Amino acid sequence: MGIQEVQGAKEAPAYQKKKKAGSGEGFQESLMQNLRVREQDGETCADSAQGKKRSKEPSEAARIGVTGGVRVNAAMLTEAVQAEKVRHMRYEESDHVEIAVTEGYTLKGKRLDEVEEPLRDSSENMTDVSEEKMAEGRRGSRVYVEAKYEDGRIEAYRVEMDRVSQDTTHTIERFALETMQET
Amino acid sequence: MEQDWSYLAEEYRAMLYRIAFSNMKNRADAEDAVQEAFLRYMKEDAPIQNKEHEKAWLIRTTIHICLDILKSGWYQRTVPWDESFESAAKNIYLPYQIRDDLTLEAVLQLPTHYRNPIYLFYYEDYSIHEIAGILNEKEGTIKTRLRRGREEVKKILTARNTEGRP
Repeated sequence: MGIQEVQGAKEAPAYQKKKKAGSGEGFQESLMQNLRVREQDGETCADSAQGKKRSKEPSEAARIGVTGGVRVNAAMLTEAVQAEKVRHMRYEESDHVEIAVTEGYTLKGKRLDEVEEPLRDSSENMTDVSEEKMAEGRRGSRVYVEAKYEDGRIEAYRVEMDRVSQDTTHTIERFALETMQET
Repeated sequence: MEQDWSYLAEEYRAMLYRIAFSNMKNRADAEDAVQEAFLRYMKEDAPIQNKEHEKAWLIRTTIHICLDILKSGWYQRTVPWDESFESAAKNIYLPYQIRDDLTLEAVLQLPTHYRNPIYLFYYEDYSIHEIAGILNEKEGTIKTRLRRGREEVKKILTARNTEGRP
């Protein structure tokens, strides 16, 4: 038996498109236009959605950088402030403590042993340390700073004090200066 | 042979006293709470796994004892006779110098569910994970309480500044 042909049956109606003809092109056009505008402004999508951050300020994700395998907030890094491995130092071990409840963070600072750093170099042993290296260690004072934030992040920095200006407004540098004054 | 418990007082007394004081806000009640916590620990039969467990157990028990005392009818009908809250707040001797007593006083005025996480996080330097274990709450809950508690501290300080203006 062959296929029966239904007599008098109407042709199935074509499904109506939900969107008006041409609306897709319009959307794509406006999207491309927005992208072009943002590229000119140098803005990221996330930034423009918040409508607050300006183009020169990197997004939060961009500011979290990896330096030497240590993940820290890159906005905190300067010529004097470098990322350091977190040691989980206790308050009792610190030379200086700052508790900023209203800002949502705590800072712990400890002056590093002045000749500790040159001696750490694995390529040389204790007896091989030259006078020059010892002098270098004495000259450059360093401060270890550990920051704990309300969201659970813990970050550590090493501050080279000979590169810190006395009138700095940078949070970590200012705290390192205070730590030096405490000791 | 009797067990030597003297190490308990040496290691934990100061810290537990601070935590008890942050809840009780007067010296005598804080000392009572700490002693009660030590007594309960000595009578406790449950095995203590390690030092961290021991410390967390003592902190948790001290907080619970404080809350029980605060809830008791007797406590609610009486007032401490010997000291004002401001002078009492100076009885917290932290192992470091703090310059901002006003913020600490504001923290001590917070409701319990904000006060304990904030005090442990900022003043005793515990991590969110550790506080969650001590207070038997989820880490997310602790984070939320830290954030909301911080907002409350700001409100208290702002209100105090406004009151203090001529």
